[in-house]
Amino acid sequence: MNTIETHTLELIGEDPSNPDVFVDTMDGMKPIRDSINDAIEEISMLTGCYSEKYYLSLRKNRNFYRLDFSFGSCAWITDVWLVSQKCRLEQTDLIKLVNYNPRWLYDNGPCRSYFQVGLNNIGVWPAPASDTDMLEISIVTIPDRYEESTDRIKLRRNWEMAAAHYATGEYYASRGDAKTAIYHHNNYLKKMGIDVQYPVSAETINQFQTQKEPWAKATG
Amino acid sequence: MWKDNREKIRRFLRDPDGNIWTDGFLLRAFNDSQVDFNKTVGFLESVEALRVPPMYQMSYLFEWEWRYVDHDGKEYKALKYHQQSPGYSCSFKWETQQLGLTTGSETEEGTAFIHPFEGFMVTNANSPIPIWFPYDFSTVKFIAWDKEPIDFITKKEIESIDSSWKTNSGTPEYYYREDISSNELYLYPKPSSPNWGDIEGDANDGQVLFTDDFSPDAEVGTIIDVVGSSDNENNGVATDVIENEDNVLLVYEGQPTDIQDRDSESDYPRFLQKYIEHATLEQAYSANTDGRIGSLKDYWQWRKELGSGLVKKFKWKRFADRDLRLVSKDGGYRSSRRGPRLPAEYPNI
Repeated sequence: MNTIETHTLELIGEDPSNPDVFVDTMDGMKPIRDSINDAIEEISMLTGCYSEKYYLSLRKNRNFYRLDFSFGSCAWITDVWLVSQKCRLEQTDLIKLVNYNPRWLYDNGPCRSYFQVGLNNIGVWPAPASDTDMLEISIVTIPDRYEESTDRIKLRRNWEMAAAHYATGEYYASRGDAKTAIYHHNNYLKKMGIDVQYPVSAETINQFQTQKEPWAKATG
Repeated sequence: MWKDNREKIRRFLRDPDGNIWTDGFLLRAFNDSQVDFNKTVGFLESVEALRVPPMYQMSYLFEWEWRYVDHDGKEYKALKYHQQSPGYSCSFKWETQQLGLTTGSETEEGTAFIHPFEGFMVTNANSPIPIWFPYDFSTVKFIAWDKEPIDFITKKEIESIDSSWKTNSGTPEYYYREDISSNELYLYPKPSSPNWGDIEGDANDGQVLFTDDFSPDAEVGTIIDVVGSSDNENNGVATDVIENEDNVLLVYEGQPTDIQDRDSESDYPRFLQKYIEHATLEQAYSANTDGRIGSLKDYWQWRKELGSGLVKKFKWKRFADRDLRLVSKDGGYRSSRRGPRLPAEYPNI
């Protein structure tokens, strides 16, 4: 059982050393681990806290490449380095390319720019003139979901408690206690600095007030 | 997989055995939520090379045959179904005149075909040959034929400018669609010399499925699924090279395909599927069942809306590496082309 799991169990009133419900097995901890994995994915998605480097061998006259990840999922590209030319590629998009040169697919030579299509497709311009170039791509990655307590947790330590509150909120939601679920999820949002508010008391309506009288005042 | 999504949804519904919400209801709600999620945040984009000649798995002639074909968005209704006398499918127009008991004999231009790839095997196909968009296609972002961008044109415009539009062939400059439900596009004019594959199977099959090296005939264009190489997903990053020569290159926005059964996988990556699960939970708790609970419906609705906001933020992060410049109205385009660079060890002057 890792730190996040231990803290979550304590928040929901379980004894981590002798749990009644969430025993320390893959099946026993599955509901909690599902929630913690969801939290890690969301935190990675928002903060870009985990990235990987990929080395993409370019092929002659090919503009588009589909990347299949064996670990994690591609989120967004932060940096592309053309190894042979020792320079970074500029990020561009299809609109700019078509505007610059409608026949951009004919161009070839050392790559100068790249663009992302969807999550795991990358396009480069111009198309490589040979099979010898290589791109070093830094990609913010959503880590794979962990399954066992000994698996590595790809999360900064100071966000671990936020993940615990996320999981605790979902535990209460699964017990039908929406109010406590909201409390813990708001705790998670505050710890992550995500500026979203939700009134604990739904009947309160916040509004601006003015001291002005609603009708025009006689002047002079 | 859907079975994992369903298990999680049922845990939050506290209905593991399906006593209140049926599997069918949850599946429909999930599919519906996927569509809503796509409308709100989009996200599904892809790039594909469409095969020319196209590969249809099945063609059919009569409506009743449709139920026996694979419904993968690639089925093609061939020849000319005679609407006025159901039960007949005609190869040529003069046959319909015989059915109509008239004495005319309309001269038919060209040769009839049943499977679209056959249309490319003859020099004068008598009707436009369809090519299909990907099954999850929604809208075009960029489309090119053999590296040249092509434009959309309406059939009305083509008919206005070209009396031989059905049989004309050449280099495609436009594409048009008959309707949006069939997922088909037509190139205009028809490609005059599509190249036939000589890889993996009979050269006369006309279908390039895959090749086992990186240097196929340049004239054979399709998505090359590379096999027999260490460049696969088990060894880090795999590269699926997308070929655009003599093909339709399509960059498009997609729409999620419906999940069919317990082993189906959503088109969205796993880390986005939880927001669809939240929307499904909202639908389930708002349904008029014994399990209807207003506070939980509100909670999952909040989680759904919160998730939509977060995903929108996430989408903008994809432009984090973009260099943006403000230019005046008449500033014009400034090339970002770099000049030659001196080696790092070169001394500063």
